[in-house]
Order: sequence, then structure tokens, then C-alpha cells
Amino acid sequence: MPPVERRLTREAVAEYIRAVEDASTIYQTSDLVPPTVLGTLALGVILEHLRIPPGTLHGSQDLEFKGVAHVGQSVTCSGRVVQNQLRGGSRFIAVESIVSAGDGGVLLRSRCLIIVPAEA
Amino acid sequence: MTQAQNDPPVLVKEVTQAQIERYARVSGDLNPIHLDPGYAATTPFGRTIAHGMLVVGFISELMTRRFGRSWLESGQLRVRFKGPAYPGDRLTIAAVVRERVSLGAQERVGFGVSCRNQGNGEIVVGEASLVLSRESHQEHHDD
Repeated sequence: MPPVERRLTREAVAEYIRAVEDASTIYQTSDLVPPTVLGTLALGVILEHLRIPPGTLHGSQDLEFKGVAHVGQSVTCSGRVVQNQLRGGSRFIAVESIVSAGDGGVLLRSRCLIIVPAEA
Repeated sequence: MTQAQNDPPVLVKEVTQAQIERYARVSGDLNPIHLDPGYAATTPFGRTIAHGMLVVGFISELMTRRFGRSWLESGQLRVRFKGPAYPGDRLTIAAVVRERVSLGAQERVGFGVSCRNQGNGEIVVGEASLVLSRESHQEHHDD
């Protein structure tokens, strides 16, 4: 899937922290971005690209944080499907993603398994 | 460093439909299984459920509150989603030290992580790890 660039705006990061109700003080006293923002971004890019149908489930998630992201930073998310298998009437799709900083340094490696319902 | 010293205190989070809707907006994941009670009623879950990544955010919060920047810089998380988290559920997120692997002056500390609901039902299980300095253990406590 083609790389997608996103800017980690202060508003978007604050909205994420409010949504998950993360009370960690480190985000109140620095411009560091919760690493799960990058995981959420990676998954969002996957779901958008694959046009995932209603009822799709999240089976598993691996996240490997390789570097910190800062508010205002631009990041690029790229991914590839590594498994696409029909099993037991459902489709199991595994996607590996990388979120990189502007200088190319890797911030996050992720792998997710999504389960698409049979009738979709 | 004892196991008790490195085990983060449990984190308790209550899931609400409003929170799920906020997470849907910020993530862009508008799957009706999270948002539409009518649709969700047609699924095996019977009602709306929280996004898996919302629960992952809770686990990451637990580790961040205990280990701070070390988690952000070196954390690894592998989880499987075992059951749905419903609005109104009270979730307990826990991490227990399972192993330590020497990296010279540092060590990678491995944890078993879990998220259970008020009935002790499994929502998420998995493993987490991060790199800590052996000498300072890079202590960080929000609590």
C-alpha cells in the first residue's frame, strides 16, 4: 500500500489523549506523543486502504516502539499485506506497517491481524 | 530490583460509549460495531464494543505511568484480543514481570500483560517488554 504522510498536530494528539483518557504526566510536561498514536495511525491507514467492511474484528496487534515522536512532527506510514487467508469462513488479513520520521528513522514497527466476516 | 518493584500497579479504566465515540473520531475507525447499537445487535456481541486499539492504549498508559520515556523509546507489545470490552465495563489492566535478559549495562524486562473485565473475563492478553538501565532502572512513577 502506498506511503501516507501525516502531521502529528497538537490538536490531534490532545484529542487522542482525551479519547483514551491517558493521565500519564509525561504528556502533560513534554511534547512527546503517545506511541499508540502511531499504532492507531498505522491501523487507520490499513483500514482505509483495504476498505474494511462493517463487522471486521481486530485479532491481534504487535507494536515495537523504536523512537519517540514529538508534537508537530510529520511521519510517514507504509504497510504491506503479509497474509490473506480464508479460514473457517472468515478472511484473516495480516499487515505489517512501519511509521517513519521525516529523516527516515523508524519510529514504530507494527503487525496487526484483522478478521473480516464471511459474508463481507 | 525485586519483581514487586518492577510490576506496575494495576490500572483501572471504565469504558463508556462516549469514550468509544471519541476514539472512533480520532482514529477514523467508524466501524458500526463500535458505534451503531442497531448494527451491533445483529452481531454475536449483541451491542457495541470498544476498539481493540483503545484497550491497547490503556496498556500503554499503564507502562508509561510506570516507566516513562523508557517505554516510549524501547517498548514492545504483543497482544491478542480475547473478548469484547463493552460500554460500562470496568477494566483492570495489569503487567507482571516474567523475565529479564541482560544487555550489558541494560536489561530487557519482559512482562505478561492482561486486561480483564469486572467479571474477570479476558479482554486482552499478551506480552510487553522494554529496556531498562540495570543501575538506575530508569524509575518513573506517576502514582
